[in-house]
Amino acid sequence: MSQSSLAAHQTHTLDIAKIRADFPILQRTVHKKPLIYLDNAASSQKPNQVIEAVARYYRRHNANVHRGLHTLSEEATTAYESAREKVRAFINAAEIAEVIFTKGTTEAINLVASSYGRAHLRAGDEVLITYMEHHSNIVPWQMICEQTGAVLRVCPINERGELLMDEFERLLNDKTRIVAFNHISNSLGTVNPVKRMVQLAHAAGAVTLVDGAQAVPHQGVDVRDLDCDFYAFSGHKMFAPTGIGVLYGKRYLLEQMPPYQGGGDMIKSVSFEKTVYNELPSKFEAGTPIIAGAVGLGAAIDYLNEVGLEAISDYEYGLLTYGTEQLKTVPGLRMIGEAAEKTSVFSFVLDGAHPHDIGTILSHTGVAVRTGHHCTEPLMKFFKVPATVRASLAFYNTREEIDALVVGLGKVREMLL
Amino acid sequence: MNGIAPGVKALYREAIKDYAARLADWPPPEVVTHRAEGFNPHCGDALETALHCREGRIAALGFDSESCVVCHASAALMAQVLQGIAVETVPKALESFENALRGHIEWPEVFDEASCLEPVRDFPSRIQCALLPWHTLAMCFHPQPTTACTEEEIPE
Repeated sequence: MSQSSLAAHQTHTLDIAKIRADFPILQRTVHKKPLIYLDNAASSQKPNQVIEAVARYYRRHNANVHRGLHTLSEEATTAYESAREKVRAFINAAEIAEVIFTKGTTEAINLVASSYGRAHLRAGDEVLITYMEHHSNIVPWQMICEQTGAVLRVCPINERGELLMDEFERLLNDKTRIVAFNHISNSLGTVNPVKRMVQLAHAAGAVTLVDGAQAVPHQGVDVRDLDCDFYAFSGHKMFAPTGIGVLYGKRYLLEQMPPYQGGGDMIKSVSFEKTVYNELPSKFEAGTPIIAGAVGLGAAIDYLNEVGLEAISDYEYGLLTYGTEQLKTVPGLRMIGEAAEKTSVFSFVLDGAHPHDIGTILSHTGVAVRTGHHCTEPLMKFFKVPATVRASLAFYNTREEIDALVVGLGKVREMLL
Repeated sequence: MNGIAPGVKALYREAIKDYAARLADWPPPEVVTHRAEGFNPHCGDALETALHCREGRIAALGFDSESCVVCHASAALMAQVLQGIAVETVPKALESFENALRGHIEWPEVFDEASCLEPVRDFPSRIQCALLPWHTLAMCFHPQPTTACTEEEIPE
């Protein structure tokens, strides 16, 4: 861990017992063992506050939004739009018009690739991504490059799982139109120097899209400070329901962009001759939106604000440091991804044991981890492994749970080696 | 091995681990007439099956594989059962294996030893691991081989 990381992490305390009591699923057992949930990078668990908010919405307020005049519709609209304001404040966007609700990060990236990409990319233009992208930040760009004749460039990384920033600078040129990269790598936990990357991309005249799916549950995000043009994230990785996500975009860019999908709610008026599109953000929200999901996301933001993202970040940093030390005591374990700036992910392989077998055995000790390529096949090829075991943290995890992971890996070695 | 459920102990019992270790005895043959790659998108397992078919029979077969214990054991068992059989009987053998593995039929006599894979049934996400070598074998005989994928049906 770098000195700057250490300095940045002052001690904040969390009442972990109280927090854990908020998450009912953490009380259940799996294979007669207490559940130890270390698959948070795939999807996080939900606190009672979120579950109840969604249930309350369905019990009392459920109706369609925006066009109804009756009480329930007005209440549903208020709940939905209040959630948008909570998101705006959460990421410090300038205005709610810049907050588009989507199904998740994937849809948000596809929206930008399809709408902005199709409108702005020409044959010979370049889109720059990085080697550590999730498939959802690779494939949409491949698709739009194929359709427009643009060229996809990929910034390499080093053996520790850090971007080669000199290569990043070298790859930026006057043909680069879009630069898309993750804030935090889902497979490695690497925290990328987003602000610097945005500055460099802007200097080259490109717009930037940041995949923030792995960042928002772990640290405060300020899109105006980062100065990114687009920022995408999912609710379900930040303790909200599945099916809801966010695309932040700067107003002037969103205004230039054609709608992504057509339908109800995204129009002002429709005739067979001409349709007038709605204002932002409705222009990009065709059809009945994911109202309950947005309500749940708003409740998750309230919850995170109450716990405090600084405290969460500090606590998880302690867990990361502890876990890294403990896992290094497991014979034959090789960590994949050891960036100086890293958070909340242990990705590793174990000599003589395939990740899939490790995952099955760990599951029967109550420990839930992810095994596989984590939707980052190019990254696995770079590290010359078919797959890794990934244990990923949230602020409800404890040192005792990391100990249980280490004990579980001992059992794996006993059974397989 | 305190604290490990019997089901998982059965999955990693010695018979399966022994077969997995025996995969090293099945390298790709020197003469290769058919070859196909297989991939399990669920976990990243990759396996290449190479065959030497002569006079309508599988004279030799072998693998290059970077996969889990279940996949390795299944591949070694497959090699043991299928070496020397008539190519025309391969589709029926594949069908029987998959049906027996899924518990739809009793294990046919020819697959007597393959029945050690039975505990895989209790782990739905691992059935694909056991099927990967078999799907890849089927792809070897496909007129236009592509990568066999365990999330798709066995190719006709």
